[in-house]
Amino acid sequence: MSAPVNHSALTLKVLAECSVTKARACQLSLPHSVVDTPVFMPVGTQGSLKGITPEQLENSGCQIMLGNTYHLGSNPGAELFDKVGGLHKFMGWKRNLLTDSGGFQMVSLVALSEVTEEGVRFSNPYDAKDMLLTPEKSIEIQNSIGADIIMQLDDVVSSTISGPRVEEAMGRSIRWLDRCIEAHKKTKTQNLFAIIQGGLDSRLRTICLNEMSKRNVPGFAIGGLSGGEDKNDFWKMVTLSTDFLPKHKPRYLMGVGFPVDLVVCSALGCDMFDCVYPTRTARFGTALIPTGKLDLKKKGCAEDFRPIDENCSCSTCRQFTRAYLHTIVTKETVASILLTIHNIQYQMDLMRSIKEAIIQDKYPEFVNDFMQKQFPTRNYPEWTVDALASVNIKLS
Amino acid sequence: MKFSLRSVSQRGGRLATISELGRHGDKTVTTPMCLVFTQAGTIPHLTNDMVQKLGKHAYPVHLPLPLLLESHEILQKYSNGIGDFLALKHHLLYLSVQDSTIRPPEGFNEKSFVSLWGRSGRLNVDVDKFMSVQEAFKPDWYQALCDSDAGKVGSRKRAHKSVERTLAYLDRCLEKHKESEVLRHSCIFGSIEGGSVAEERELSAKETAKRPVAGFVLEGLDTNGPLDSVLPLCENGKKEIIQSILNELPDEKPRILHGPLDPANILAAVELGIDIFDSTYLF
Repeated sequence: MSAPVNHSALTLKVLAECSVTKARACQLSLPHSVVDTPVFMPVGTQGSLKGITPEQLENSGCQIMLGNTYHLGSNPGAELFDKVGGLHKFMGWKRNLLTDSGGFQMVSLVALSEVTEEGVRFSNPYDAKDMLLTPEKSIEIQNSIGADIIMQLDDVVSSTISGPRVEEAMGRSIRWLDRCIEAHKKTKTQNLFAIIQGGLDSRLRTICLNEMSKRNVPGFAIGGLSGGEDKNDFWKMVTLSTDFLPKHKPRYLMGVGFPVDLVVCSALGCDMFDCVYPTRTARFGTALIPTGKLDLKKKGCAEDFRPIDENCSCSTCRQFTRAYLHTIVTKETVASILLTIHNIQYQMDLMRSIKEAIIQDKYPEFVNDFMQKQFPTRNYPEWTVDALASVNIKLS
Repeated sequence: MKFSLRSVSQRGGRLATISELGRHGDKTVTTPMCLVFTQAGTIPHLTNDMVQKLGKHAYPVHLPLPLLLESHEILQKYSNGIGDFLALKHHLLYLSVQDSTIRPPEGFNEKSFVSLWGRSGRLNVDVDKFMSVQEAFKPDWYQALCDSDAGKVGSRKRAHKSVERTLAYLDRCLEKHKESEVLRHSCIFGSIEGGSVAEERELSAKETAKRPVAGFVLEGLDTNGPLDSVLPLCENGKKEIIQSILNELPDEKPRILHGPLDPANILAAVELGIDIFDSTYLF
């Protein structure tokens, strides 16, 4: 008797579970390649990481990156993707892509948007044309773009607001999820993820978790967070969600984040992350290092002939000194590229060491070591102490 | 450095091979040749891994001094030279005095120093400082300090000054070059000045040709704008300016013409007998 054929476009294999925390190391198989989790996904909003070629990104070990439906949908547009055969071909990227639905722009471009049950109406700042983004339209554009993972259109509200709007958005997100599932045409090659909403209200989050986990989607995202809310509230919503979400499906924490956030939220059971921080901060002259940040603009770097990080294997650290980078940072475009390459490598290396620590069942030691390097005077942020304590890690 | 002419066409264009490139061992380059422009030590928008894809075309690199001058003290402390600092040490490095994408204002050069315009403004460079920079940077080829401000069009006096000063700078640079252990493998280029005044240009060319330089740079032709006085190079009146200079120069040394030349003008310049160009046209 032959084994049942797996038609799914996604499989998750849990390789190891931490015996102390909720962390897990997995292998996520997607149409274009396998991704090791926990994974950090760099953001290439308009189809490229600013200044980086796909080849350079491949060299860093990156297996999956993000593109944005709102931006790509208006420029170059779904029609062109249909003609070309998708974003992978258009940008020359052989590995995985994930597209956000365009929902986040409802928050980031809130002055330019209007939400109704039908969808979101955006006025485009570049060409003054209106775009009505419905769940159906978002899925249609994402089907054309062709990413391996696509996100439902959700009704997103800023995490800093409260009141009835939050409940309205949560309810609408469930209804929009169903419309997205209905509209999705390419289930064999593209995985539609649901996005849990509910703001910072555990009652609302629980309702949403209950409802959405009834739907048969390949993965879940935790949305509506990482928008400037109090970190003490943030982690509680994250851990509530990972407690509830099915273990055999990936958990994607959207918009996170800083290195400390990645380490803590991995302990809370998240598998996938994305954030513009490492690439954006690179363009402003800041490099990420094990002890935190290095501002290359500072005078102290002018005569420092060491690389950014002596233990980093990226092409920037192998060739250049801090002194050299100091002369060009924020002045020559090459500086943005060199720092972006380093910061991406830092993130990839960080995630790899998180994964290895989980596999060796040494994650608590790893976390302590990491946190001590970041906070040498042991002045840990309160939320990190509480969040880690909730999963049995006591920071020394 | 050894410049070997392989053939000269009837109309004046030359094919040559340059060998004995100091620290580069057996490597050679052929002319006509284009130098890859850099800005503050980087090839604009291209990281080194991308540059490698250009292969041998990216081998000769042009480092204009103005935006690098602020790094003088750093390079002295670094002590491994500019090639190493920029991760370009496997490239042939040529350091020019001015940056042909920056148009310096007129009237700021004095008798004993030249003004270079960096990021934080004007820097005055005399021969001592200039040669100290060369010793810290350790380029393969460099243009000797020169006064390329030929004043208003037709101004004989200022044109003559630029010729005189440039020759004086050249002689002192040559003296210091000879004494320098560090610059043993580097080659020094002399500059032809004289602006719009024919007699001054010829004088400059004749005199510079007498000095033991590795090659020549045609300067001072930016009377109103980049190479304004000589473009388009195929036109009568314009090409004579270049021709009159080249008539005074020996055949067996290379000639550099800096500045944004489009392909048509490059072809015209090659026919006149120019060997080396830069890629500032792209910027």
